[in-house]
Amino acid sequence: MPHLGGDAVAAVERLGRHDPREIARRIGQRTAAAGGRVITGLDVEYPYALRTIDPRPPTLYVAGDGEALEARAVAIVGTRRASGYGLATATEIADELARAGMVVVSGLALGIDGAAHRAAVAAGARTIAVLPSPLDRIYPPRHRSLARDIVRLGGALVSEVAIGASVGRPDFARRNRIIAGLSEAVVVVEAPDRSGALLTAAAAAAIGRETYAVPGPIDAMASRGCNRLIADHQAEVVTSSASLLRQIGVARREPPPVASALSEVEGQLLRHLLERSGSVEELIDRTGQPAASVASGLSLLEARGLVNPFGGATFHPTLAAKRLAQVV
Amino acid sequence: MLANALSASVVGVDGIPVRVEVDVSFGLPGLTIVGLPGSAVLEARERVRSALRNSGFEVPARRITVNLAPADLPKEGTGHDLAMAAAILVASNQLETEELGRTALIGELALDGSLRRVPGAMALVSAATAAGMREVIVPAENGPEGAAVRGAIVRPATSFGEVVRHLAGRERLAVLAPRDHPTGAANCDDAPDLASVIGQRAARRALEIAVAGRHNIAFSGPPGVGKTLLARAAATLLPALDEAEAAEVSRIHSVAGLAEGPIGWRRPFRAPHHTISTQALVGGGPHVRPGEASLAHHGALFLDETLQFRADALDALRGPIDSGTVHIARVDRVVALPASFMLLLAYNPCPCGWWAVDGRECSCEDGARRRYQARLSGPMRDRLDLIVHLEPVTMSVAAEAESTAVVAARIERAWGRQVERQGLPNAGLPVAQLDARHGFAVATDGVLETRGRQMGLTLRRVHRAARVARTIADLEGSEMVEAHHLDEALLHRPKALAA
Repeated sequence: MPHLGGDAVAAVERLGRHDPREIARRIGQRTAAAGGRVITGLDVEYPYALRTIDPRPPTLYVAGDGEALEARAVAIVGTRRASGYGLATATEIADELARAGMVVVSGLALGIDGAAHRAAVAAGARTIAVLPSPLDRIYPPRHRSLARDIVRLGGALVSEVAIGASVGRPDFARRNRIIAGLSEAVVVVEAPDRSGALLTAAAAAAIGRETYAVPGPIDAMASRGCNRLIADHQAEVVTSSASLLRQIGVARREPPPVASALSEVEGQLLRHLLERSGSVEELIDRTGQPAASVASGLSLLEARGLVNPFGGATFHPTLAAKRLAQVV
Repeated sequence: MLANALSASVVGVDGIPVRVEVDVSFGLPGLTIVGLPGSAVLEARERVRSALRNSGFEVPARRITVNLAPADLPKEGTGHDLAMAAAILVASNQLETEELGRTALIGELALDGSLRRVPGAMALVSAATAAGMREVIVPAENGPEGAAVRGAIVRPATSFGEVVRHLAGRERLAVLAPRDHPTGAANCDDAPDLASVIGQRAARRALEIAVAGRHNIAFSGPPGVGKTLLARAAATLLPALDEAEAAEVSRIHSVAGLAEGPIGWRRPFRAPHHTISTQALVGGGPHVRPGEASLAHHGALFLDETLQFRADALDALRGPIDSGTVHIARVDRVVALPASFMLLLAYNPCPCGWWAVDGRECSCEDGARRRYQARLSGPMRDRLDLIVHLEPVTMSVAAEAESTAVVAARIERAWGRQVERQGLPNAGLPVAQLDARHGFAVATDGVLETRGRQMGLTLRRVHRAARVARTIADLEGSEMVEAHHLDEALLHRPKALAA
């Protein structure tokens, strides 16, 4: 071996850094530091459901319980720019599925994805978030605490992007096939034209997963993609969360009893809201009650989880309210 | 020979008595001012010289030294001119008088010897009175402000000549009868009547609650739904100032040069434009002037298009919202400016205005929208009591809206109950006083705790809601705070932004 100068030693060390085994070791270390582990296509833990998709992710980075990846799962996807209607529907469907024992799969994005994960977490159920980014960079940052809750409740965070890799626009589209792959059915709750959720629906159709779409008003831009999926027979229409469960083939569990009885005004408000969502302003007109009683009544209903304004002025009845109405 | 007269200087919004000492001695002719004079005070040399000559007196061709005591306090403004000129006359034996021992002199001199108004006359007159002066001579234009100070005998004058004749005992200046407090620039003459607000009953109700208890309120909604109209209507809903408050407000407005005439007992309503600088909003500058936050003391501060304000300007309001005072720290001192106000905000939820409005599309990019919404920082959001989301009103809504007079009467009654019970608005109730004596029964606390848990509220939020509930009970005339009061208070609680 010829004599090596200082520069040559450094060069060899640099070469060592490109050694695949060394790289793999480092990635494994950094993934473990982020609370995850590496699962390759050669491992037995590699989810069975993903063996059919194409291109199959060679490596998965998983935080949380890998068991969740083998359970019966349904994906709920939709636009980040969701309306109150979309958020209410996503919450309701995710809640129903979670209570029926299904794992809810989504992409942890703002809007519909977040509402679906949150509803599953609220029901204490397992849910899987497929990230477009590495495990140590939860995107969007606003959902960091939601991601922690998902792991805490036995769910999982899944990514095919190694820690340290850069994230680009294509990564967002690529993870859609994993969402579809992990699920036996995909429900598109609300999607405008050219929404990423439509790509997930297409990916689901390509690998033979059932596709469902929630219809919206024909003048709502946010629902155009969903309505088109239905019109083109690319997705089954969802007429109610109960019918969706029947179609997927899972049994509804009995709802927990609603705590205490409602006052006359609260009952009246709830009946009006079940008929059609509305703002305080509209409810004053529709019930004929003074502003003060409408306001306190709605607030109480919100505290009891029977209505939700989703950050706007319009109040939507929740699944619990619909169940209560059937009991009453 | 030596002579001295008393004048006063403004520091922050308070007056400090200043003794003007004049020594006329042999030496090179000239006029020297010492005692940390600012540039306006230094220029008094030229004004005083000309005013003396043009009033028919002589400027002694001697060495004249003027000292402004306390000598270590920086002095600003032109209010010392009159005292200097009078003391020079006494020191140069052109005027013989005993009056300077019991009469303070305040005013700026014009070159022809006439007197010009100075800012902060109320603070200056109070300081002079507190320093033991029985009488104060002020420029005629400052008369009404000066006369509003309790216990002061104020004699307005129009020229230096008049003042000299008064001091010499030849022609006495008239005493101005005590006046009501002038509060300037309430700028609520153009306040809209509530009757002109169509629909929006939920928001009207929230506004009524906010004004009645002086809670901070924000209106969020798309353009054209009446946010600004509602907020401006608050100007005439605020109940009248009481005696002590009026004195304080007038003094601040007088320092800012805003007390134009006796406007009366109205609470200030300030609506600065969103391009305002941080200093102009909370006060500051080289000579520490009160900002809009102080001008809104005991009244309301309305920030229209809140999210267009500079983020640092908005965050600078956090201190005064908590403590009711702006503290401006300088190397040598800290100036405290009173700034206890009710905050009114109105803004669009996103740049296009249609975010989270049911049945409408928001056309903003996600990033742009989030950056825009982040301008109202979490801590600021947490200091609000009510956030009302407004939606467009359908034209079919019956237009029989209550007028300002009707609502103001209810607010007046609720206000009276608060003053009677605790002597301050509900918004200022300390946590320790959210107890049985203030209408919070054990059962109410239980409800509050349950709701806090159900809705995931912080303790600060729970306390803020409790204060709002107290106001709702006061509007209803109820001694006790009931569960439904709490529920209504919680409906408009600030929440995390919609995801």
